[in-house]
Amino acid sequence: MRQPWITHSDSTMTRRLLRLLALVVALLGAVSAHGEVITVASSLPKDFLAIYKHAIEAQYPGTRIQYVNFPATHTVSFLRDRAPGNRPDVFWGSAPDIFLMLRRHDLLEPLGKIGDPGIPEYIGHLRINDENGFFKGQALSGYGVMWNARYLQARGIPPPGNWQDLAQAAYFGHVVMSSPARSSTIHVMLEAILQDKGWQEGWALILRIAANCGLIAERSAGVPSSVSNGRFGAGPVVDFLGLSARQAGNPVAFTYARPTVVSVANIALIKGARNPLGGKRFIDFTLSAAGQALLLRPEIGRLPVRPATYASLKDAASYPQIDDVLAQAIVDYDPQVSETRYRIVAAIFDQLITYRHQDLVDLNRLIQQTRQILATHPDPLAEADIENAQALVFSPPISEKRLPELQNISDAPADIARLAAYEAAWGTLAKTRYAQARLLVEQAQTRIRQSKSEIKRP
Amino acid sequence: MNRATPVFPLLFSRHNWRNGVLRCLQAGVALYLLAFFLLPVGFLFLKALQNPDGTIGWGIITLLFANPVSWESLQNSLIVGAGAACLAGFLALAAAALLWKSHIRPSPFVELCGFLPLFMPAFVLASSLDIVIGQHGGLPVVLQQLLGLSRASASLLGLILIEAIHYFPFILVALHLSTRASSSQAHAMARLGTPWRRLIRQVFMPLSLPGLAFAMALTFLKVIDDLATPLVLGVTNLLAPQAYHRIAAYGAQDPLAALIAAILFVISGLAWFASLGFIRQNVNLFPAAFSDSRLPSTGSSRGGHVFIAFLGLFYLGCYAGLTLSSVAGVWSHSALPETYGLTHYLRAFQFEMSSLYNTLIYCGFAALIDLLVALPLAHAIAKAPAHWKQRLNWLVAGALCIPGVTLGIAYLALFRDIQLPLGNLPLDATGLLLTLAFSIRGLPFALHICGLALNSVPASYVEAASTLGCAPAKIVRRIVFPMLRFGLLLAFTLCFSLAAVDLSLAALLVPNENNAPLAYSIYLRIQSPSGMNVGSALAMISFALLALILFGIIHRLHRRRESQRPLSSLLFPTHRTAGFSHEPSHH
Repeated sequence: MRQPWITHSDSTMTRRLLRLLALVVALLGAVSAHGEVITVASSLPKDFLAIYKHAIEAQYPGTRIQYVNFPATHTVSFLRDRAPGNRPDVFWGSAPDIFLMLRRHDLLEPLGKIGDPGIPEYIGHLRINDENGFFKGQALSGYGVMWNARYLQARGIPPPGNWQDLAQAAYFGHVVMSSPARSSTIHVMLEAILQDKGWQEGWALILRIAANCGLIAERSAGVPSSVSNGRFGAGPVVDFLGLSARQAGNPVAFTYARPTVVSVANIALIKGARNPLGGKRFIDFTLSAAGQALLLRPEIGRLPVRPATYASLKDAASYPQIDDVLAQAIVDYDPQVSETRYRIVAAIFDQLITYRHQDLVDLNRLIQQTRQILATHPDPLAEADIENAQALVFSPPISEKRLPELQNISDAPADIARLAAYEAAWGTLAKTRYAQARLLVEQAQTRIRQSKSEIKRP
Repeated sequence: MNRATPVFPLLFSRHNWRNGVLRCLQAGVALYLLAFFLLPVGFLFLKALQNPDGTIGWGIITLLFANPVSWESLQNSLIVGAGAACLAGFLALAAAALLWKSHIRPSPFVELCGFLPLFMPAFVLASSLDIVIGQHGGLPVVLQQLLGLSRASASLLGLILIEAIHYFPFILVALHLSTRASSSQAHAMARLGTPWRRLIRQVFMPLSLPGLAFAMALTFLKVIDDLATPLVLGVTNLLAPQAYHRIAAYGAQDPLAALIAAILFVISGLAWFASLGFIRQNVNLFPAAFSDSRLPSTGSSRGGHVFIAFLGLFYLGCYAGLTLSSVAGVWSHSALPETYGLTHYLRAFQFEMSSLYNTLIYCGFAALIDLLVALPLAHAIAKAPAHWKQRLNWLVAGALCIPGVTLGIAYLALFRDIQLPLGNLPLDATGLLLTLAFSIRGLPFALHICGLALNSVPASYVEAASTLGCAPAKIVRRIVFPMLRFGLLLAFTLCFSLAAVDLSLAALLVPNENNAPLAYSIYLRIQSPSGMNVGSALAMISFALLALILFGIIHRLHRRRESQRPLSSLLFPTHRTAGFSHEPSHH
């Protein structure tokens, strides 16, 4: 019997081997492609970055922009894991506290004079550039609530106007948010609430909103996308995501919610960059008239820091104005405070909310049901039980006074272990609190049932 | 002819320098295993057992389990893994019994479709089901309302169901392949009056046990290692997501993440070795399963065909959400999209083709490394004395059951500060770590297939050629390589595809999103602020590519249908099959 492989002539075999070799060489060659590369670390959306990439590569032929895209919350550990000389050139992101943290860890290079001279140092009370010259403001963004009009209409829920609305009973199960441990935008919004309302009240509001959430999304992008597609009704987002979702034709709306912060999306040169000159060129472009004008494109939808750029808007009425946004912002927002307790806020959120979300939602459902019954059958004792349960659940696990114990947690294993011990304590506390609150609510329900049957009996 | 005689010594025995080359190769393999498998894992365990003050002790373990979330995560991981494996295994057993009884031979393409789940990450199914089931809440919420469960158990059950649906076809195909040979004999016995119930109990069950144990063990390992599906569903209290969250927040030096990763490894190892007893049993029956390609069919097979058609429709339905969202324009809070269009495909081609290219690079090189390592290793195992053979097999089994999360964290921890001499890059800023990690994960599969392939080269051919004075190089080129070729192609394809879907590793080791392989790009795109549409389009594109690869394999299979080793023997990667290989039919 003839064997197929014996029929191959030597030359076929050789040709095949050569072809294989060529493939391998081509693969190797592709891996080591060259050119002047500017590496930009950023947490901004891919489409947004792509627009800048094309614009800069068109302006400076021969340059290649490469993005390192990851959540801003990972930035410090990412940069510190790399030796100087091997780091990306530019860091570009919308959370101001990250830049302070980078500055504190000595990971930024001073910038000097760079960008369009028309960019002011202050807009309203808002400082645009870092006072020490380590980073520059590139765009402004405010935070607020985005909602799906069709979704809310179908359920007869009034559109939200501020954060408190999201905590109302009508919104139970219809809200979506993300965790500050994995989303720097959520973190800024929570800090604004904490700084405006105070530690105790602020956490109460955050916990109430979280108890109304149907999902704690893994990435911050999960909030706008699941509001846009109508899986959830409303969620906290940064303004440009709301604006661009509306631009894409979805039945969504956005409002700046008070208290908010207007955060400056900053851009900075990283210390120990591989290509510092290229990095500076990139920063200069984003701060030029052309770079600022790109911000107004519908798929970006951010507020430029160069006032003259707004003059070029064709349809100015539908675009948010800086003054409206500033009107909602709290004046005394302190990024320094936010930065020192960054990890603590994130860890508390995860231990109390993300990892206990299902318990929290189940408990909140019970509370809502009992409150509904109480509306028709008032019972002061049961009412008190519910109040106690809510007070127990909706409060922070650690008082503001004790926070200094935990400030400035570094990446050293001993520090991480120290924080982990607190996390374990908070996790335990959350579990026992939710269990106790459940008992209280069940006690209230028994009370109502008893009083109902007493009413029936006579 | 003694089939177990390794081919290479025959080639090399008279040439000492060639023997030296072989030694060097084996030393390289040993070095590779040491540097990229044993060392990282050992380092991980060391970190997990190091107290914050630097001494060795239980400090980190007590710290981790002081948090009730960790206990819950451990329990939930075990429940979800075992639940998904048992549910999928039970359903697949019933389905395989039905197919066995109806005695049909599905076309090779249908059989290969059973392997599809291994080549597509499960979170794609989860996202698609979200859309199919409705706009609000997905499978867990529906379960909660239907069964009146608490939210926590509803989401666990939802996760179990999704994983079970995802891995069911794979278990079914494993069972079907390992039992179908006996189907016609069973029909003959049934005609002679043996009741089916008895046949199923006494013939089908023992025959299917090894395949079932293997497939269930693999399902368990894959499920507890799965990072993306729980995260997409919002289930965080599992070991893999907990470790991922800690790495994301505190970086690679977090000792608690190292400990969680080590625990995952221990659990996987225990599960694997527990199943090994079942797999070993009856293993000799497997090859017989593949020799009956032309047995006449007896009895009615309509039931089987209807069942397969039903399965096909069910899975098409599950993935309908994905298909629909890939062509949807505006789709908000309505049953069907308002507008349709192909823009998402355009954007996928415009922005994400680099991820396809990355996949080709990472996975291609990983598969090449696998072949380079597996061939000498397979040879060494065949030649090794019995007690060494055992140790090497254990080592490879260890590589099989190391979860992606564990390997990723171990690499991050160990290679964090290492600089590459060329280009002055940190090692973890290149795709190199990812490629190496992929190759470790694919190695057991490559090793198994290479072992089979080496065994299928008849020593007598080589002997005959060298007696006739043929130069060893020519023997390799003209005899050994052509006979190995199909096996190598198969091993390459399998390793490539397994690496392409290894999302847990990619999520941890991808240096930046531009260097993300396809599966990770799909994951990111499915969660992008503007909706999952581009991600869906990308997933559809990769389905199309997979189908192309499958057709390629089938085409190859057709060409070598009768004489050669069947595809299905790659199912049993840790077992040497030297004892039961067949003669080529012409011989």
